Amino acid sequence: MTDLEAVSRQVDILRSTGELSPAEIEAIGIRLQEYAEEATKPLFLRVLLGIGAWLVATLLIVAVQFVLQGKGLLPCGLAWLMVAVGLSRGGQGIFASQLAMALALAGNIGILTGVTHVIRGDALVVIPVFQLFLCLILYPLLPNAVFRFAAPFSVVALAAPWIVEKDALWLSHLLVGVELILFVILILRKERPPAYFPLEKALALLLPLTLLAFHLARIVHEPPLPPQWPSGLLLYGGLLTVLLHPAVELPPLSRQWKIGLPAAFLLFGLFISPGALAALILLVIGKARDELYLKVLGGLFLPVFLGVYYDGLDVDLTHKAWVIAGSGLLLLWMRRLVSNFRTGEKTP
Amino acid sequence: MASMKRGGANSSLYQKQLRRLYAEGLLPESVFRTFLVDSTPTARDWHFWFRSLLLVVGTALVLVGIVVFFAGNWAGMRPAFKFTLLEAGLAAAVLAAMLYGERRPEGKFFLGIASLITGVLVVLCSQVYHTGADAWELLAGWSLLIFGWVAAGRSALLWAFWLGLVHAAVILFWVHVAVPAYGFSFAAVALPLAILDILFLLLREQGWSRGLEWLQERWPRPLLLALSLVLLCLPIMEMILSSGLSPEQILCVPAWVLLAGGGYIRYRHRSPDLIALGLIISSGCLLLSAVVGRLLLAERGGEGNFFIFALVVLMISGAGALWLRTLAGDATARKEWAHD
Repeated sequence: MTDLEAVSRQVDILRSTGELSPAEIEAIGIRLQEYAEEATKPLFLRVLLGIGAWLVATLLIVAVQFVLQGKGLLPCGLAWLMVAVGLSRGGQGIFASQLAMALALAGNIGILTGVTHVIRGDALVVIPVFQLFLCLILYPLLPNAVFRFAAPFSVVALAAPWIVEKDALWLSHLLVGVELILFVILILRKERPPAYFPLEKALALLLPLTLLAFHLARIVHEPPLPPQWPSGLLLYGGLLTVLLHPAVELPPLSRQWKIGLPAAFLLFGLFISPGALAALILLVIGKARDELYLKVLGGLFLPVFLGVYYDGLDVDLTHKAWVIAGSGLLLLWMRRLVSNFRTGEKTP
Repeated sequence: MASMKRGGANSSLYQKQLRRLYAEGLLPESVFRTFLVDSTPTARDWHFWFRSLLLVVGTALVLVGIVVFFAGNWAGMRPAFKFTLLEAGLAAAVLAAMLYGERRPEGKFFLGIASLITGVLVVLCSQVYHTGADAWELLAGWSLLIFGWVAAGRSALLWAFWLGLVHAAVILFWVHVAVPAYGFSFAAVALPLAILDILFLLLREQGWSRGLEWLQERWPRPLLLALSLVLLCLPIMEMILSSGLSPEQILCVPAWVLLAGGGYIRYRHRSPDLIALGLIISSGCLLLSAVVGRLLLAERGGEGNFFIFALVVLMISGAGALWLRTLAGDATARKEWAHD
C-alpha cells in the first residue's frame, strides 16, 4: 500500500465514525489528489525542469541582447513576466510550466538588466531594492516552486555586494535578523500554507549561507573588523525562542536543564560563531518537526562553522590542535554531566 | 475516537502527508494528535539527542585535534618516527578489522582506515626515498595495494573509493603523459573507464538480484550509471562541437546507445528506477541539444537562431520531463518503484 492510500484509508475510517464532516472529507480528498499529482513530479524532475528553464532563459537573454541592446530588455522582460504569470495560472502540463519558468527567469533578469541601463542612481543600491519589490509582487502571482525558492536568494545575492562594497557590514546583522525572524515565523506557525514551503526551505539554506558569506567577507576585509556579536545575540534569542515555542513541543524541563541548556548555548555562541547557533536552530527544529532537510542542513553547516572558527584562530598548528582537542574533551565531559540530569518527566 | 492502527502506516512520508493536511487546517487537532502521538519527541528522545550531539561533535573535535597536531609537526618529525606511527596505525587497523570480521560495520570501517593509511604510506615512501613518482603512479600503486582488502571487505563504499582512485590515476596519466607524449584524445581514456564502470554496474545489479546484503543500498546504481554516461557523453559532445574526429570518439556513440538502451529496458521494466531513467533521458536530451546547437549556431550571424535554439532546447527538455513524468505516473499507478 502506498503512503497516500494509507492516509485515504484512515480518512475513510474517520468518515465512518463521523469524526470529520462531509465538507472536511471533501477538502481532504481534493488535497490528497494533489499530493498524488505531486508524487509524479518528484524533486529530481523539478531540478531537471529548473536546469532546462535556466538554459532557455539564458539563451533568450542573449538573443535579445544581440537585437535590442540593453534598454530593450526592460519592456521585453516585463512582457515575458506577464506571459509567465498567465501561463502559470492558466496553463496545464509540463511544457506550459517549463515555458512559464523560463520566461519568469528571463523576464526577471531582463528587467534588472534593463533597469541598470535606465536608472541614474547607484545601481548597487537600486537593483536589490527593485528586485525585492519585484519578488514581493511576483511571489503570490507566480505559483512556481522553483521561482519561489530562488527569489530570496536573488535578493540577498544582489544586496550582499552592496553591503560589502559600502563597508556597511552592520547591515549584514539586519539581513540575518530578517531571515531568522521570517524563517522562525513561517516554520513554527500552526497553519502552514503550501505556498510558503519553498520560501521556508530557501530561508533554511539562506540563513547559514548568509552568515558564512559575511564571516568570510570579514576575514578578507581590511581591519578594523566589525563585531559579530549582534548576529550572535539575534541567533541566541532565536534559539531560545525556538526552544520555548509551543510548536517545538519541548517537554517540561527539570531545573538543571532550564539553567544548563541556555548557559551551554550562550557559551557555544560566544566562543564559536553565530553560524553555529544557526546550525543548532536548524537541528532543533528538524528534530522537533522530523524534517530531514533541516537535519541535513544543520548537520552540514555545524562542522563548517566549527571549521571556519578554528581555522581563524591566530595560533600555530600545535596550539590549535590542543585547543580543538580540548574543546572536544570539554564537550565529552559535558555529555557525562548531562547524563545525570533528570528529564523533568513525571514518572507514573 | 476511533482507534487507529499504526502498524503499516507509520512511515515518515505518511506522517508528512498528515502534517501537511494539519498545517493547512484540513485536519482537526484532536484527529491529528491521534495519528501522530508516536512521532512527537519525548523528553527521553530529546535527552538522547542532545547527548548524541555532544558525543558526535566532541569525538570529531578530539580526532581533528589529533590530526592537526600531527599535521603541524609533521615536517619536524624524523622519517623513522613517521613510518613507525603509520605502520603501527596500519597494523592496529588491520588487526581490528580481522577481529571484527568483514561482515560487521566496524570491520569494514577499520578496513577503510587501513586503506587510507596505506595511501599516506605510499606518499611518505615517495617523499623520503625521493622516488620521483608522479601523482598518477602513486594513485595507481595505492589502488593496487588495497585491492585485496577492497575485494574482501564486502563494502560498496570501499569499492566506490577504490574506483575513484582508479579513475583519478587514469585521468592524471592522460593529463601528464598521454596528451604531451602521444596526443591521446579524452575519449581514449574515457571509453575504457566507462566500460569499467558499466562492468561494475552489471556486477552490482547481479549481486543485488542475488540478494547480497552489502549491495542492497540504492546509491551505487545512480553513481555508476551517472559516471558511465558522463564519460561517454563528454567525448561525443566534443565530437559534435569540434571539427576533429577520432576512432575512440566514434566508438563512444554505440557504447552510449547500448548503455542507454539497455539501461532503459532494465530500469523501465525489470527494476523500475526513476532516477536511473532520468539520468538516461537527461543524457539523451543533452546530446540532442548539442547536435541541434551545432547545426543552428555553427555559423555566426542570424541572432534569430538563438531564439530558435532556445525554443528547441525548451521542447527537448520539456519532452524529456514529460516522458519522465509519464513514466512516474504509470509506475505509481501500478505501484512500482518498489526500490531495492
